[in-house]
Parts: sequence; C-alpha cells; structure tokens
Amino acid sequence: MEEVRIGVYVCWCGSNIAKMVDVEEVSREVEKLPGVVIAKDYKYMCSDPGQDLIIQDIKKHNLNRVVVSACSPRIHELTFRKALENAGLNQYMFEMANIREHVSWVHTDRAEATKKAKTLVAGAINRVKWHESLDKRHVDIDPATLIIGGGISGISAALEIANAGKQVYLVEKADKIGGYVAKLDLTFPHMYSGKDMIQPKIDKVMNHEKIEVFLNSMIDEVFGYVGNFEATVKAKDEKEIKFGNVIVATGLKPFDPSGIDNYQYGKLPDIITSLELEEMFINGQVTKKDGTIPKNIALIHCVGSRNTNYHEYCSRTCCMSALKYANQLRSALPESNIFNIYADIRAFGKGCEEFYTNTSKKNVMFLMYDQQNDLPKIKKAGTGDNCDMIIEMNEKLSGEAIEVPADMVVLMVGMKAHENAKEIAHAVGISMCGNEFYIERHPKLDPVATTTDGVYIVGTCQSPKDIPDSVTQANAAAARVLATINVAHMEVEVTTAVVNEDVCCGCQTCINVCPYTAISYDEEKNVSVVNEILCKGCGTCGSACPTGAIRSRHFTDEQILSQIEGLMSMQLQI
Amino acid sequence: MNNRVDPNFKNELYKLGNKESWNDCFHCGNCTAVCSLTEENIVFPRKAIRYMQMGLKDKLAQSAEPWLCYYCGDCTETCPRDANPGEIMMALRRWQTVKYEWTGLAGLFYKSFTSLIVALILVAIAILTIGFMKDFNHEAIMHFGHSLEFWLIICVFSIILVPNIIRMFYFTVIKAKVKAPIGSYIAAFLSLFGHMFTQIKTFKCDKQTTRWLIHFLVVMGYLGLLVITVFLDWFGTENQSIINLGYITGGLVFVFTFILMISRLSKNRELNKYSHSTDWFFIIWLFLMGLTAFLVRLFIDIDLLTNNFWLYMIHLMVITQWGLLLVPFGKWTHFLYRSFAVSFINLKKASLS
Repeated sequence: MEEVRIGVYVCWCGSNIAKMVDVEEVSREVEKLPGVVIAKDYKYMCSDPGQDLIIQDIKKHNLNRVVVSACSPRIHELTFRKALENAGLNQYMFEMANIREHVSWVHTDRAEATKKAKTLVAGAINRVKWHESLDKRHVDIDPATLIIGGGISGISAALEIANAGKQVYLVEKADKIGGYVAKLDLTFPHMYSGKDMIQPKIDKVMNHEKIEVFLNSMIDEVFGYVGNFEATVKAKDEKEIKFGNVIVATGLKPFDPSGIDNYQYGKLPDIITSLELEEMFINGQVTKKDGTIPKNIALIHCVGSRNTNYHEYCSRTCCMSALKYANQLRSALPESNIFNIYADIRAFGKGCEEFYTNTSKKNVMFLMYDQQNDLPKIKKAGTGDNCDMIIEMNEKLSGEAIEVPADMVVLMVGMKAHENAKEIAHAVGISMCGNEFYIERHPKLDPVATTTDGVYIVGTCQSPKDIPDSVTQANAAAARVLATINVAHMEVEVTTAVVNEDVCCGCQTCINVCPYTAISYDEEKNVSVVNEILCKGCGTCGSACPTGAIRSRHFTDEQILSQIEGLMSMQLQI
Repeated sequence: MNNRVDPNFKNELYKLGNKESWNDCFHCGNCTAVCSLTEENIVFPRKAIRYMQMGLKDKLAQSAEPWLCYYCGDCTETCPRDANPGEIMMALRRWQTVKYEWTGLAGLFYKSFTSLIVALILVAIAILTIGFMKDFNHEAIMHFGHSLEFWLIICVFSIILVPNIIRMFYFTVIKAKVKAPIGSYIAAFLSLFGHMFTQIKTFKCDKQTTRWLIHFLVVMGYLGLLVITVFLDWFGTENQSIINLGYITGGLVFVFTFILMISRLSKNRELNKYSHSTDWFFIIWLFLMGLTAFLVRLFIDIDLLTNNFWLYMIHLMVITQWGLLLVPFGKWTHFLYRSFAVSFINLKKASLS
C-alpha cells in the first residue's frame, strides 16, 4: 500500500463553527496524528480560495487523502469531491467530519465542543486511510417512457414527451382515458368545463403517432434500472415494452363515506357524495331520488378528511369544490336554501380566496363544525318539520346546538390513494407513506422524483391536489425525463454492494432485506448477485449478511471499524 | 326551544337597515374586543351577529345585549371585513323593537314607509275632522287637546308599552332561562331609573361626552315639556315661572333635535351614516313638537294665536301622531328598552355569577 498522506482542513464557517469550537486547536492537535501531513484552518473552506487551498496542497505536499471538517456532507461533500478531482485525485479519497450541525450548533460549552470536534476529525482521519479509488459509471438511457395512468396528469406528461418526439407508452386500467377531470362538469374557480378542457387533450393522445395507448391494461412488474427498464403490459394481448423512464400517475380513489355513522350514507335516500352531485350537473338536473327539486341543500365539507379516525390529511380540493357547488346550485335552483357545513375553509389556490368571497355574497349560509370531535349528525325529519332530513350540529362560531333543515345532503368526500397504488408501488419500486400516497425523493426540493432513479410520480398518487398542481407536476416530470433522454446516459452511484462469491452461501438473506430490489439470486452459482445500477449503497445487505460475503463499497468494514477506532483513540487521549 | 337555522332571516333584517353586509363577518372577534361596553359573559356584538347570520331568531329575541350598545362606532371603524357590526346591532335593535311590540303595528311601520305615511295622514284627517266637528272653536279644541294628551299617555302606556316590556322580560329573562336570586331583582329595579334618565353607561364609551350631553338635554327637555304641558297646563297657565320653564324645555327640544338632524344629514359619524325611516320620523316629530309647542305659547303671549289658530291645529296633529303612532310603534320605545335591558342584563349577570 502506498504511503498515506492526509491533508486535514478545519473550517470556521465564518463564526458558525469558530465561535463554539477552537478551530486552531483542532487543527494543531490533529496535525500530530499519524498519516496527517498537513492540517489547516480557514474561514470558509467551501469558498473558491478555500477549495484552491486544498488543490494547491494536494499538488505541493503530494497528498493522497483529504479530510474536511466543516458542515454536513449533505451540503458540501460534492463540492470538495470535485476539488479533489480537479487536483487529479480520485473523488472518493475524501472524508468529511461534520463539526457544525453535530458540534457548534448544538453545544454550549466551548471546551467540550472542541474536544468533540477533535474526536470526530480523528475518526475521519482514521477512516480516510482505508478509502479506495472508485470509478464513475454511466448507463445509456432508452428514449421511450412508460406512463401509468391516463388521467389529467398522465395525459399532460405524455403529450409533453411525445411532442418532443419521444416514444410514450400510456397504460390505462379503464376503457378510456381522461380520469376524473373528464367526469367534472365545471371546475373551480373559473368555472371552466372539465370535460371540454380535457377532451382535446384526450383526442391528441389517442391520435399521437408517438403515443401508444393501452386501455384496459395493467403493468405487472417493472424490471431493470434507470435507462433500461422493461415490463409486460397485461391486457387481452400481452406486450413486452422497453423504456428508460417511468412516470406513475395512478391518481385517486374517492373516500367512501358509508363508514361514518353520523352521515347515514346509503341509509337515507338523498344523501349523496360530491361525485354523485357532479354527475347530476353533467346530466343537467339536480333532483332528489323521487324526482322532485330539493328545497334545502346541505354540503358537508371534510368528509373523511382531517380526522384521525379516517384520514388525517386535508384533501385540498373539497372546500373549493363545495363552493363551486354552492355557486352552481344557486344558479340552478335560485329558490333553494344552501348550507355549507364546513370545518375550516381552505382557499389557498390562485383565485380561490376571491372565489370564496364571491360565494359568500350569494345567499349561502356557512356553518362551522368541529371535524375532529363533533361531526354533524343527519337524521330523518319528523312530520311537520317541512323538510326530509334534519342535520343536528354544534355550530362552533356561535357555540349553539342547532338544527339545519335538508332535503339533500352532499358529502364532500376526500381523496385517497388509488386502490392499485400498492400494487404499482411494488411493481415499479416506490415507497408509500402510511396513507398509501407515494413518497417523493425530497418533499420540497424534489417532489417529482422517487428514490428509484428513473421513476417519477405525478398528480394525486403523490398527494391530493387540484388540476393545475397535477399538470404542473406532470410537466415537471416530463421535463426531467426529457432531460435524461437528452443526455442519453446517466451517471449512477458507485458506492454499491459487492458479493464475494467465494464466501456467499446463497442463503438469500440479503435479497429479503434489500429495499431497492437490487439483489437477485443466481441459481446456477448458488450466490446472490447485486445489480449495481439499482443498488443505492444503503448497506442493509452488508450488515445482514451472516457470512460477511457482502462488502459495501466506500462503507467497508475496515473503513467503519477504523473510524470507530479513531473516535475511541481520541477519547482516551482527552 | 327552536334552534333551527333560517336563511331568510337576513332578508327580514334588510328592511330594518342592515343592507348588504350580513355575511361579511368572519368572526375574528375584533368588534367585541374593541367594545368598551362588552363584559365577561355579556358578549357583543360578535355573538349577536352570528345569530343574525344563522337566523337564530329565538336566540336573538332572548338577547338584551343589542340594547347595551350605544353605537360609538368603534367596532365598525376597526372591522377588518367592513362588516359594519355597529349597524347590524342597530338593525337588531329595530328587529327587537318589532318583536317585542305585541300588536304588530310596529312591524308594519318599520318595514313599510308607506303605511306609516298613510297612518300619519289618517291621524291628521281625524284631528281636522274633530276640529270641524267642534266648529273650530278655539277654547273647545284646546280643551279637547289637553285631555287628549292626558288620555293618550294613559292608554299608550297601559295598552302598548307595559305589555311590550313584559314581553321583553318574557323573552330575555324567562325564555332565556335566567335564574337570578330575588335580591338581584330588587337591585335591578332600583338601577332602572338611573339608566332611564341619565344613560350613564354611555360614559363607558370614549369620545361620547358631547353626544351624551345633547341626548341628555333632549331627554330632559322632552320630559320637562311633557310634564309642563300635560300636567301643568302650559298653554292655560298664568304662572310666569311655569311659562318660562315651558319655553326653556320646548326650546331645548327643538334646538337640540335640530342639531341631531344636522349631524344625521352630515353623516359625520358611524352612527349617522345610515338612517332608517323610523329614525327620521322620530327626530323630525320631536323637533316639530318642541317647535310648535314653543310657537303656540309664544303666539298666546303676544296675542297672535286667535288669528292664527292653524298653528295650534298643527301642534295638535303633531302631538297626536306622536302619541298615537310614533311613541308606541316607533323609535321612542328605545327609551324603555335600553333602560330595561340594563336591568335584565343585570339579572343575567347575577344568574351567571
């Protein structure tokens, strides 16, 4: 093994680190450790002069390892790796010690904090000694894209990609595309017709030479990795397709309110869901089951939403839909009494607060209830009540127990993840939250991608959202897909697991624990095989392997044990 | 108890002054927070506004709170939604005036301007007819006028006003299930007259001193004029101090009602910005009453009345219209409702503590 020559750089981070850690002392002390050729402290290591300092030292002192003791590696690991590359060193010959988030920001005793900083740096120094050069890897990207789900999100993404001249396979479970938007009479807050809006898009998709639509179809399982996926479309005739990226747009399922006893859904005739009312509007007539016109109409918001007994989350669109219905009902039945029984009005979208204000001037009564502890109760009205049903509720703003007359009750049902969400998640390898919505790679900075490279989630399969948000996300995913198609190949993580076939006993423990389905079993050799493209280097298999046959690159046993040793050695000294 | 919401209630209130702002309030509670008169357990205006929005008529009939408001306008000036809580309280007082009045005539006059005009004309015709029947004999008519005043007071008081106050008591105390100890009834009764004649609670509101003074002088002038004309026979007496006192009280009434009319026209304060027809009738007739009484006595003193007996006829018309229509079925009743409300609210406080 070549001589280890380590350069250690302690960052002040302005005063962020320097005010709580004696950076000069840290640098002085660690310089004495074996293998360390040079140790320096500097005000901002991440700045251009800071990086330059490292590059110059590598050249001048012939360094072959670098430790930077600064902020979290999540912020600047890649910055410094790049600096190493610029100096002609392999980027993996680098280790970072986090003395900001883990030390200066969280401690109040300067002496103790300095000790801890030294300990962490010592660990990093010990670890970096065992680092080895790893090479970058690229995969080619198949320019075709699979889109699962033909609602507004799937359609939007499909058209974006196909219009850029790339092949799209659009798989839809139903016998036609269009999803829920095609079932909407009008949409809030502009009162455009949902049907009219989506029909031209449906026609374009169905006739697009670059889009192959599979109706009444499902996807069984997606094999492969980013750039090189393949799957079988299950329909009347099965078809094998190959594609480089997947966009999942499986959409929503309306909440079924029959489980809420207070609401009597299915037990009394004129209690309907919002979707049933939508159908009435599409058919042009709002009537009770007996064909007569309802005089008193109550719209109950938050049905199945924002209540820990059903769903804790807010479905985001029901408030505005309810206001939309109030407007539609006011025009269709000018003589009717309209009651919006709500928990809180959430009118956050563009033009939505204005829509709410306008609606409140249209002779609509708003009554507030406690959606967590005190749901309204619907009961059949008595003779002489002059209405079909009575809604008993405790109105929050007045503090009064009141009765609301009703001849028709509309339950504003929330959104759930699609019933096939679990199946699809398994097929393409995405994770789900507790409520079965798909988890994005980063909730704020990457809400379109998933933790599986090449798999994107758009529309209501990720979380309840309205049409503009779904379209935005779909177009964003399309842009991401087109960008990867454009570069034609993709850099993939090399810090993956490797199986030592001589030691592997074929127990398949690793296959069961791998969260990325990256390991398969080679029956012939009776060993596990890691797909290096799918592997994220999480290390789960390595720790589970009973024989020690699996080695995680960049997280080898030597590296981790030495780091621990380093930490302990410093503890003993101080 | 009927706690059924009523979407049509607000339409009823439209005719009583609250025009378009019924649903603007989103219940931030700013109005209650800035109000100098609201107290723990006696909360307004927000709660009454909510009852109004929901059309909980029973609840509103049971709330004496609107009468505690002296309409300083702070709530309206600071309302973030321009929901005009002050005017809503005013409209609710008009609604309660109608609600507590048992014959239904107040409701008719408050909601229909025309019917009040017709009633005023009918009374005027009746007075003219009586004058005609008495051959316009001055002495006979003035004698008739004097006893008419007396009997009007007795009848209106016993037939209309007392039953209305009993109704108010029924709604705000009995139906509202206020259970106060007997001692608090005595205390409430004792505090009644102080409030009735001084409106002392106005002082809790800021910047209300001038307004209070004008109102106080009008009240004192009005009550003085009433006593002097009806019980001391101002138009017939020879006693110079009574005559002078009459001039003073009559003068107070028309001078200060004139000032009140000017401020209603200038709309310089929140409470003046919107005037219901009943506000105008009340103030104009009060003015006319003071002015005509003053002139009648002046004409007697300078010996002009004999040749200008039309003046007395007009005065008689004005006080008959006043006593027969505007006192029992108009805004005059606020004199009683406001003072009794303080007592009834005191009972409520006693029952809650």
